[in-house]
Amino acid sequence: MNVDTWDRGRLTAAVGLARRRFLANQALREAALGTAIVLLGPALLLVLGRDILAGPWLAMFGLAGLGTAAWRWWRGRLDLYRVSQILDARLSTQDQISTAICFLGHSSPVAVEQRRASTELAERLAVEAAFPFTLHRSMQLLAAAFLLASVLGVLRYVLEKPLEMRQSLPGLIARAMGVDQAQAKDQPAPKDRAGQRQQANVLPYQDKQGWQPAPLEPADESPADGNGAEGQGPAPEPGRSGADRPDKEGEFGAPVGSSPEGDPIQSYEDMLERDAQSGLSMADGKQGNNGQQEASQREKSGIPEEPNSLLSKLREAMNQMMSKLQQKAPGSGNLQQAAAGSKGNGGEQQPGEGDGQTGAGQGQPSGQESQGEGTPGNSQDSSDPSNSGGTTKNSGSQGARGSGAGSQDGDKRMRENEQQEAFGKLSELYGRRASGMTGEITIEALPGKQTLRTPQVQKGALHRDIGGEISRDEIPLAFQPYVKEYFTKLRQAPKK
Amino acid sequence: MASESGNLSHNSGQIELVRQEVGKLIVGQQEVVEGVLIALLAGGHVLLEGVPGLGKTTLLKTLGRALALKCSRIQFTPDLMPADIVGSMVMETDDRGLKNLRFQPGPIFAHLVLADEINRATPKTQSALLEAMQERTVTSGTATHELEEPFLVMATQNPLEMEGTYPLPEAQLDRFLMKILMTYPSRAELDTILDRTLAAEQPKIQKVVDRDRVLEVCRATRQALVAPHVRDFATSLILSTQPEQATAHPLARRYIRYGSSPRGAQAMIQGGRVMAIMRGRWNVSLEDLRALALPCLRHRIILNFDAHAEGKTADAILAEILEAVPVAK
Repeated sequence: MNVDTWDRGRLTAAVGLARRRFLANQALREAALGTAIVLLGPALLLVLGRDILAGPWLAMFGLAGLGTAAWRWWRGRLDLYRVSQILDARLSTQDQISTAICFLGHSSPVAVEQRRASTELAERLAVEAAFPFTLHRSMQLLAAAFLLASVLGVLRYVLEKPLEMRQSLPGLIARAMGVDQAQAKDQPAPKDRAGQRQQANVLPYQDKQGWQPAPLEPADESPADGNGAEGQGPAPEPGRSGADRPDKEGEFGAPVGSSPEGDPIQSYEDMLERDAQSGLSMADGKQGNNGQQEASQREKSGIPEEPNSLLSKLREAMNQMMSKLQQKAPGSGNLQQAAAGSKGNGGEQQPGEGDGQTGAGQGQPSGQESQGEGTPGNSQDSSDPSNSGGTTKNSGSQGARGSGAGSQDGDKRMRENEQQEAFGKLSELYGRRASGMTGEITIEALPGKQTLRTPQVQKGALHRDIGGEISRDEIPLAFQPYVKEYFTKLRQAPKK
Repeated sequence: MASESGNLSHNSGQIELVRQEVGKLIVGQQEVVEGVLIALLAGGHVLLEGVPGLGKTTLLKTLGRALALKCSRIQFTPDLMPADIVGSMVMETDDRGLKNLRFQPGPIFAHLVLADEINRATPKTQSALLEAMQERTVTSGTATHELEEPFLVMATQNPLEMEGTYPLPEAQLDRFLMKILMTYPSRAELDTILDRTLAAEQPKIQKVVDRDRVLEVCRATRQALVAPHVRDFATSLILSTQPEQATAHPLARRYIRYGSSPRGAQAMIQGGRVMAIMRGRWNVSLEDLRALALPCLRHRIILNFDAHAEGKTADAILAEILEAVPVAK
């Protein structure tokens, strides 16, 4: 019996050694995991800074790491029996040690004999082979956390010398990347703006990548955009449009009664004289004013100009028509009449009635005309039929001026004719746009479930229970050999 | 303690002696010989499945000679009657001229019974073995006769020729401790078989262990220790084969119609004890159970139609279930 007690002690000591090694291994793992959790605190501090992550949070990370490690280690503790099972499994000892540990309290002859054999076996075992100190995943996690904290610390030290740990790391990075400078760069000094404008005007044509619209300057800062000048003039005062500039008045026709300088036109002859000087008719001047305003508005809104496009012409005609309608607000009947006349003429232009005030022949607002100097596409305007019509009207108006007809006679139907002309022009533009529209239309149909609906007919079939039981798992006894033979042949059949 | 130690080594030595003696005539088929010995010492019965000519009858006769046990052979045919197996009442005239009914024991009254091609008999005749296999008694008329220990029924069946056969009912299949598949011998084994059987002199089988010694070993095997985790392994394995259990293996749910009965766990544990003694241990190991899982369970699970249709075998399914049973690592 003493021998058996001694055997029990030896066996317990041998397995206890393995258990201690197992617990130490487990403690290393959990300590690595806990340290990794603790290291998350400084890493977060390095990212967020002391302004966001206060000291108590760091203490909480420390407590959480220690608590997690301790709890997992306590929960993962194994007793001798479990350790002996692992020993048996890893060292292939045929469950002898675990059986001996399980029957440690038994004193039957078989149990004693089995214990003696197991004790001798356990003392010969290499516990290190069963529970080696390996690099567990928690240690890899610890290394990763340490590396992360180190990288963050180095990064922060580079960005912030000395380490104050107040500001957050993203803020430091943003400051280091020069966000403020970039913002300052977006609002350059007035001295630099002229140079930027020069670059803006020159660069699009020097770009080898292809044409790109030049960055549009605000209307108040682009005196050269309106007339296509190369920006050689002095820098304008901010907040003042190109149309307001006094030096532009000589180039653009002054509109009738709407001179910004308050220079009223005294008579129609004065206006004609001005037109003769400036090469623009009164209507052109008005349209030029509208076009100038439109150009400045376009510049303000950042929309790139579309020289000689149908859309601009359409917009021009609409503006013209609306301005006329505003002037002729009481005579709405004339508008309808003019519309009817326009329809009846099939879009043909109405000749001038001799008053010469409908000289829209120049066709182009002064703003666009001025842009034509910068954009070569405006040279096509000379082939515009509206221009030829306008020339005809101009000549007609000049003839009327010499005929001595009263201006009042012309004034009666002037607006009506203008409306008709506008409608005709509008119809023509629509027609041209419609006839010139070419292209391809692609309709993308998304794949989806398509169901074919077939009308169902009630057949009136009935199912009846005839009392039979069918089980798919049961094959009648008489047919089982045939079924088995069938599947055997099926499996052995050569694949085609 | 010394006697127990001597018993263990003596027991395993005796079993090894029997194996060596049987090996004189049976070439190869080590697993079959070991399985039959395990079934004999564990108090069970064995079902051998294999094509004819692999030495099933020879094995039984050799084993009987080596163990000095009484053997009998029953050829099962469709017209075999239960009385042909268990015996019947015969009328005899005594010395005084009186006629009496006397029970004439059938071939079941032996230590080693070879039920050759058991699936050729009708279920009624097959069922005549049920009482003998489970209760180890035979009832004839109103009298119940006990069978002598050890008692082993070694049934054979041919897996190929299924026409005119009657598959064994599940109740009888469950009474076999193990179902062992006999395979063809290898080339070297076949050469050895030819040398031994075609020689002028047949090797003679000597009696190495008597019946009492066999019974002593049988009793000793029941003392082998089974740790709780080993028993849990057997329980988990059995439950994994039952498709209605929550812990059933997915393959069991898909392919098994009826899982193993508790007799499967008993067979594994009891067979494991014998195997442990044969290998010089007093404890059953998980390796013992793994080695015995297929022979002990392959005839206790009933596959469904899907398994038959997909060509799945019980061995393949059990092997996958066996790998999935959790153990300490």
